[in-house]
Amino acid sequence: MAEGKKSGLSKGLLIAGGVVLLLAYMYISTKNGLVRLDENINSAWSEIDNQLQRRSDLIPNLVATVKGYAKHEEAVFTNIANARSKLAGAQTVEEKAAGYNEMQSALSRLLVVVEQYPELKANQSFIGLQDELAGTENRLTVARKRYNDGVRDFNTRIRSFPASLIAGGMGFSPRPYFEIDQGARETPKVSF
Amino acid sequence: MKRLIPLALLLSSLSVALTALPQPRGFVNDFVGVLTPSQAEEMEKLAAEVQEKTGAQIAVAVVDSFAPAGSIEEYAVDLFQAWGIGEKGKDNGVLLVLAMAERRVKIEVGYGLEGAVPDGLAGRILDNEVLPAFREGRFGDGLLRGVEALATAALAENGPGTDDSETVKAHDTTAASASPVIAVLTLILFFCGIIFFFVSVIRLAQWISRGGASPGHRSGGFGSGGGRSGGFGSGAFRSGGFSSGSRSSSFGGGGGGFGGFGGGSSGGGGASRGF
Repeated sequence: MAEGKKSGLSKGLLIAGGVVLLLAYMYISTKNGLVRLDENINSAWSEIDNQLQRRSDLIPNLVATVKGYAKHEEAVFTNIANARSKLAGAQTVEEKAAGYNEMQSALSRLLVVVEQYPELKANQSFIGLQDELAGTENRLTVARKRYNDGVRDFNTRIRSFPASLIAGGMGFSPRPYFEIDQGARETPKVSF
Repeated sequence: MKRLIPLALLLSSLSVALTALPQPRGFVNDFVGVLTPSQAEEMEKLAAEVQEKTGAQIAVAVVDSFAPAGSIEEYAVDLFQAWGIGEKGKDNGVLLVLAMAERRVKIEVGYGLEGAVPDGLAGRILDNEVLPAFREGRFGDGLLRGVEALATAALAENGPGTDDSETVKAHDTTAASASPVIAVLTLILFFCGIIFFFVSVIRLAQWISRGGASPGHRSGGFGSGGGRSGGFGSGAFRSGGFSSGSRSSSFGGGGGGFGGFGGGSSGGGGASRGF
């Protein structure tokens, strides 16, 4: 009799112990999954940031080269300078996207000017700078895709079961997409 | 029958997606037939030499069209990623890809080679070495001269690329390869923990049911259970010989030939031209 009672108790202990361990395992693996997705987003963002910075650094050279041929297009140059400083001051993802859009429209205006100066278009430094700019644009595209894919995975995960139960408590909240204006995008293409 | 249709659609679209990107056969991959055997051989030799001396991998691809990708830039990134050109972590790969239908050519440079082949140089190589021959319809010559220029650049540069991009990439790849390993190890550990817990509780129950187990015996049971857990634990670690989930298809590749690409990646750098 006493044996029956004791084995019933130990059975309960077994089950309870198993459940606790299972829950603990699920909690830890869910948390680790969120951390991994979060880190993916962070490294993709640092790549976007790198390329935005790189583009910013290329701009003064580009402007100087164009000025060598088109001295009097002041409005265009001022636009670019303004866009550049705005981008430098941007902090959040949304601010950087807005800064990117402004810089794009300023750059496309510059390219319109360039069209009127064939010697400029043939200038070796200018061609090199255009390649560098186009390369940066392309890297931004790839980094943006990876970033937004990462954000989508993460945001979906924290809104679904079981992560939704614990995400708030761990300080994970939905992250913003890097939205840029597709229409403003103009990858300078050099063809002969 | 109704249920089968969406499944069939899914399978066929999967197979289209999978077959859309061709498989590499060597450093030089002419899927159209513009290269003469001697041109292809010459380029293979150059690429093998570069790999032997620097570890960097030069890949050439000639395709009919870059569709369904929207641009050659998109296609080049996808192909580069699928093939994994360059050494994993170092990302010292470069891809020279020509799409015949759209008449576009791109040099796609991995992060590790951006010091040796910056975008400006990639553009100049296309303008000065590749395009002149292309405009005369001599595609093989153009590609060969392109590979020569890329090989020269890669051999001239001795070290890896900039520190920043290296650490970013290294961080990426180690994070990517570490987490499935850790996840599986954790899984094993917990299952062992569960098993051990069950076993020790059963033993405890057995000793209690035998009646009059002294505190010494009981703690003895837990003690030896602890020892066994240690055994399970180290056993799990020893059996955990997992390789990182890399795309590496190398079979001891080394000097002298193509042994598969190393699993490197690119971020979209390089330059492209139409002709």
